[in-house]
Amino acid sequence: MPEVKLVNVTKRYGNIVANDNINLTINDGEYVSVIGPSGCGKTTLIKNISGIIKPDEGEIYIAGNLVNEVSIEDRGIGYVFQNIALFPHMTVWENITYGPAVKGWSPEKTNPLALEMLELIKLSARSDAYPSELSGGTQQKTAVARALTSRAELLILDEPLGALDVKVRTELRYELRKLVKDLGLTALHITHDQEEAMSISDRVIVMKRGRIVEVGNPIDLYTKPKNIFTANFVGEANFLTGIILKISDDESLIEIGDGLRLLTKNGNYNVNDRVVVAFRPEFAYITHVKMGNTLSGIITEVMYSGNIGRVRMKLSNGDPIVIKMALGIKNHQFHLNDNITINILPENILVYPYPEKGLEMELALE
Amino acid sequence: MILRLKRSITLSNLARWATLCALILFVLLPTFYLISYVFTRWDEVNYEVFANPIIGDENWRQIQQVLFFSFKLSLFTVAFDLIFGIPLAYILARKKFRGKSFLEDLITLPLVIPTSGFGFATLITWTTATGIGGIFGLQSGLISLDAVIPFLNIPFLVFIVHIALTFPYIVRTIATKFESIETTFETASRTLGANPLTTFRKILFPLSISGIFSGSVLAFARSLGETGATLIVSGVSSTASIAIVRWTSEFKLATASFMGSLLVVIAWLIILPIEVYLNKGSSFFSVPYRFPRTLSNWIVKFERFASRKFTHIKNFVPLFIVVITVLVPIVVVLNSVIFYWSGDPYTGKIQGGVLYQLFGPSNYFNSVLKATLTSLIVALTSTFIAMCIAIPLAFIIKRWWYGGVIRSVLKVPLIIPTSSLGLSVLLLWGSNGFNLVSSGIWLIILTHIVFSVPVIVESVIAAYEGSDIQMYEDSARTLGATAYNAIETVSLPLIKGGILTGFILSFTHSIGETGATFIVMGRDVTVPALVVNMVEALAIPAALFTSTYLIILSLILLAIIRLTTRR
Repeated sequence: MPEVKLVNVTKRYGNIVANDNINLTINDGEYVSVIGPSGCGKTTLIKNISGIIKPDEGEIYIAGNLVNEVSIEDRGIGYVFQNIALFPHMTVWENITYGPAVKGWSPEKTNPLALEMLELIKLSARSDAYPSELSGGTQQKTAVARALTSRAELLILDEPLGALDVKVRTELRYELRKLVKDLGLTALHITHDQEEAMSISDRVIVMKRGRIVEVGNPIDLYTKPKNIFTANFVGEANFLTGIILKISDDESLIEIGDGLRLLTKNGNYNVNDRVVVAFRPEFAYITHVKMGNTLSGIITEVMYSGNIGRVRMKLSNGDPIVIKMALGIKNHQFHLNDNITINILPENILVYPYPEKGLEMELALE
Repeated sequence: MILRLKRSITLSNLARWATLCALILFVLLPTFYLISYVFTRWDEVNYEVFANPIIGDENWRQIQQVLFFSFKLSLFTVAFDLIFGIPLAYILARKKFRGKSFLEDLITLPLVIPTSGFGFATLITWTTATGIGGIFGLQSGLISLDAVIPFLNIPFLVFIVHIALTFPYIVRTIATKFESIETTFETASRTLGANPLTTFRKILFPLSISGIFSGSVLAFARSLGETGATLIVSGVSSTASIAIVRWTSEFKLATASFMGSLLVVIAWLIILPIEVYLNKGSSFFSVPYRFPRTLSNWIVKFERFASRKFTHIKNFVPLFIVVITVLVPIVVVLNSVIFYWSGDPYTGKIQGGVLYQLFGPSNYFNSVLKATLTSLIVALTSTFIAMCIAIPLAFIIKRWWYGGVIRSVLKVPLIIPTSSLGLSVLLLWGSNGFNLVSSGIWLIILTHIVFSVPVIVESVIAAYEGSDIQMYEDSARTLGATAYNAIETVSLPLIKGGILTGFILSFTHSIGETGATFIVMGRDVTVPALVVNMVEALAIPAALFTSTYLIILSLILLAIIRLTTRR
């Protein structure tokens, strides 16, 4: 069954290392997403797996077999493209049965399967239509059906929803996941939309500059990212630099300048270590009691986007931070230059050692 | 204000009508005159061709013979081009390798090399000991001039020359088409289980059928009209284009014009349906061909096998053809000049050397200089006049409802066989028509204008369509520019590249043109025509020198083209 395993896979384009010593296992039946800024090597990764390119070093196994020398057509992969790539000169039916046709399957074997796929994407009535007569979303569904009719059990989705309208995109991503799960397929889904990845995947892989930065399930990646880059790339976060003042059993106290202090849960540091403190904008709440883990500052900007209020403030040490809150709970009225105090629970504060190359470099997308 | 507006409208109308009149007088009339001539002088044609008191319908039988031979030659040339041109186009479009731009230049070379020089190079490569024969240690050429390809019954050298001269049209057109098709279609097909060859047959081929057809049309027309190189290598055989040249020089104008018209009409009957099909806008092929399943499985199996085993043959053979038909003749001709420089290398006689023929009693050097001057004057004057017509014409084509019609009519001078064109111009302006211009440099210029206008128009239109001219011009107008100002300050600078490309293409075409020039030149010989004259006078060393001179000239032009178009 299609378990995918990469061992020390490296691919270079001239001086650029597009995949740098990648080790990765995708389990049978798993829905895995790969996210990362553009140019991070995620497309190279799937091209390596599907055989469009050959890695310079390392081994790729599909279902336990070494496939480095196996050509694309023999890897049994369903590939779904961002630009859809339905053959424009063939009807929906011809597109869907293309795989069986070039493999020489009999009509007795092909037709029921193709009909089933058409049924699945609810397109039985339009099997004679040409791709250009279909909407973008329907085209992409047809492309998925085409990949599946060819009996692929490993589905590679290369930004499959990237070319579609926002609304169609959100609908289709859940349909995709359902399809993959119902048919018991393994899926590797590339996207730059981290929300898309978080909402449909069993596991998410974060890549940066050709390397895998972090792998984890969506909740862990969001609430407990092990890496500063992940904390920044997945969702939104405030980053402050500080120094460990005091360490107790499982808590440490961090000074972030001008006497502002934060108590955190993580204790794996020594006194006087330089650290980065991070927290999600929505994990801070406004309080009137200056007790516990509080920070005070002046409101510099207020923006409302529907149900969410977004407040930018300047702390007394000069650092800017952003907080978000749902409107309507307390009917907050924010005014520029108001002095407010926020509270963050110690367990919601993430602490990282200060990066060697500096915070800016570590957060940079390129 | 209103007065100014009115005046500018009148002026622009005037300019438009002047351009259209020039188009009709200098391009369309010369192109179509030949056919009308046959009708107005039908008595003459009938007398000469069908009912001659002495030879009867002997001329008619000859006409049928050369026409049949010409069409056979062109069809087989195109077929051969397609078989080997498509793999080459695929390599150029899809692969990256070292020396790719050199290969591209090599393929393009026959487009800029004057055909008579090229024909001569091919001739000595195959039929003399200085060519390939010498490499194998033979005392003679590898083959003789009248060697014929078995079964096809086509002279070997004629076939080789036609392939070399038409190959660029096929390869470049199809490669451009392949490049315009996204690779994801092919990748998709591969991931669905199709091998590379099956993918090509079922995906890339049907999607690029329009490019394959238009490349074939260009190559077919080029082969039908080829005169310069064929004149040199044809020996005793005769194509339709050459027969026109011969009959014109024998003053059998009625026979020549009748056959010229037949050639144009039949060529059109073949090309027109394809053009109509292409213009219909169907960008891909949906022929309902279905092989029975067992057969199609067998084909796929074969393709799978061939994809693995024959890749190198597929890559190697087209390259070999380009090298043997283009590179080798050029190298041979350059080498032979050195070989023959001071005397005939075999007999030792200095009369057989380049130096003696150039500066001896026959004084060919003087002819070369004179011909160079004629060629340059012709190329510059005809290109200049053609630009004066073509640039405004390109704007008219893009902005008026009848532009599409003009554009498609302008394709005719490009596909009309050159000797027919020359004859048509001769009949129109010469003593049988307007009786204004007789054979000589002015008639050459008038002939070259006919094919230069369409060449420049197409390059300018390509540049025009490449950037959003109308939008920039509109925004210049909103900023207060008059219509004329907008064209001068915005449009013309934007299409500068296209104008330059058109200029160079037209200039090189004019420098190298042989077929039509040969008919209208009278005593004002151009360089390519001089090569033909030298070969006919058996002044081989002088012809060697002049061919080399032409080839070097066109290599310089090619370098200029590369510098100006690849920025």
